[in-house]
Amino acid sequence: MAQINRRRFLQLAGLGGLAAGLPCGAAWSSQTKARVVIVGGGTGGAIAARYVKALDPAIDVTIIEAIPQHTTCYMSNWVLAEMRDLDSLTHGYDNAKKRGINVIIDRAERIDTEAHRVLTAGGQSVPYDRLILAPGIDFRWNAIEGYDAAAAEVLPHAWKAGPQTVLLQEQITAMDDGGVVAIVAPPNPYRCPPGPYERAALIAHYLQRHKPKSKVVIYDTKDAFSKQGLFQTGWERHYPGMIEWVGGYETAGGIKRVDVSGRSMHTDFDDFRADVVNVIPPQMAGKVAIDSGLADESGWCPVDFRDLESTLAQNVHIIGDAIVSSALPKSAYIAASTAKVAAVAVVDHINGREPGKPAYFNTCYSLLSPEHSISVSGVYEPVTDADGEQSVVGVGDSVAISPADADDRFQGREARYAASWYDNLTDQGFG
Amino acid sequence: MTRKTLGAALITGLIAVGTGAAANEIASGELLAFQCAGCHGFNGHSVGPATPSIAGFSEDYFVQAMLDYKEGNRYATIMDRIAWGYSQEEFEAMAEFFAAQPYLPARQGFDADLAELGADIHDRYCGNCHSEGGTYAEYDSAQLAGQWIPYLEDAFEDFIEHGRPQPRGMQRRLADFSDADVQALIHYYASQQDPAAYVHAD
Repeated sequence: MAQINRRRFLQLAGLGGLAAGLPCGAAWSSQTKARVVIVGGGTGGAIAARYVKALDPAIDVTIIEAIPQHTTCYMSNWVLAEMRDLDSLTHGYDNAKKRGINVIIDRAERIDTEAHRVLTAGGQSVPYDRLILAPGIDFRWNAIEGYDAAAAEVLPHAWKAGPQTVLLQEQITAMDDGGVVAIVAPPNPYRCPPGPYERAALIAHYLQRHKPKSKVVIYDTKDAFSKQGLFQTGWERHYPGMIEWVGGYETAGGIKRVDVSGRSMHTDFDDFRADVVNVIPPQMAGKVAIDSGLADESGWCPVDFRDLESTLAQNVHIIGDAIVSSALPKSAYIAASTAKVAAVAVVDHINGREPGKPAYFNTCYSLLSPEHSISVSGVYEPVTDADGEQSVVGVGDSVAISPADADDRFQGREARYAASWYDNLTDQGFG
Repeated sequence: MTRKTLGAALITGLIAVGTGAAANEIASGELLAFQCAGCHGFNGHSVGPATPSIAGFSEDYFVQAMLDYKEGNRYATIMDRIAWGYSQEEFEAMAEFFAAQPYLPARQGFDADLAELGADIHDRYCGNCHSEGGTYAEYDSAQLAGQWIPYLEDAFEDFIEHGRPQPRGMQRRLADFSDADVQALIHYYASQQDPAAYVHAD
């Protein structure tokens, strides 16, 4: 056991420049042991590919991804505050290819879990021995009446970064001073729990400098939200009177209908208007997971948290935002965390080893201003109750947020950590 | 997994037969360490200037640093909260992984004149404990050289203003240093960018 681990340490060390010192490295990489296909080349998928290849170079690793370059949704709020441009959040697959990972640019439409094949829009049928599915999220169109893909071209969601982010930014930039930006915040579970509230702060940061009479109003479905106390205190400190949060309890459950032509939003009792309407709609696992029968009635993918294998199909491991609702937040860091758990488990399975205990870990930073960040982090482990029901729980007191009494230097350091978090998080898969 | 932890796992396994739950089982050091990479870089090689590389740290130092965070002895924004989630056995398993990784110095700009001045200060006041120009992974200290300048600035602030644990002699010396002395040291450490300089025969 100790020997196996030592050898694997050395394989990883090889990536750091010691490859020449490895006696067997070349021989292993010249023969294929098994085919691992990764559907989805976002943060989770790209990281899973790198770790599988690093842990066992004899495994043939293929990413199938529809879009040739990935723009991360995390940090895209920074674009709205003019702190970053979208290009700096956009990453390609050249480095993955240099490591011997195959990259197929094509849309995976369905996984045939019986025949062990991925079927693509381009007509390809890609075989796998083990599949890692990283489909991210899709939207429940018309869950808010009137909000579908066409409506999103007028009332952007900007919850998948790229053209949608640009559209939202253009609308805010074109708005008159004194206007109102509305954010419709979604019900749990959804991608990036603190994201809508960071967005409010960073839009306010832009408005304060360019259109100081303007406001941001958040219409929430929920009665409470992530890091709420820290957000609300920070909003008042940096943007006094500019951000209003309307909890779900005030509107009997939030916005039920939108009207594109009038930019209006409707609850069961009230009608609201805004100059820019950012609708972050209810979500579900990426469409390919749903269409392949890998999601349950919740719309998310149930997994065995010991190795992230689907409970609905063998040899399919699911990572990132698409995983069924649990204590693990749908964050970029958890996408990375689950990618590593799945990568190790897949390599163990292929090599005839029983995967050991998994390790889950999250860190998320949210900005209130360019010099003020708050964070949440947590260590998680799977547990099985007396009835055999599995879940994930935080370890001890480790799931914790920044202290409320942090001083300016502390908050500034967290803001710098947020930027380095981005650099390292993306470097793992794309660097 | 070290022999010690392997032994512990075997004992746990025996207990598990009796109770039906391997409560003390831990994840592999490798998988635990992978989880650090989102902030500290792939295999501990940070490409983010505010967070340190942790590859190549000595096992003793890594474990001590994590215990200091966990017990509230070391200034932190987030590392204390993170450390609350792990046991000493898990820190030891991570430490073994990181100690086996090569240390890769950060590629960054630096002021050569300051670095020359800093080399002098280092040799005179710091080199006794931080040997080989600060490139050596000491049992009670990480490599100082090769870290990012913004991280080093925070680290000096931690020692000088936030009471990060340190020997008394070091505390006295840091109190005597001017801001310019500290900047010179930082640029000296940043100037050492040849990975070969970090490979030492033990």
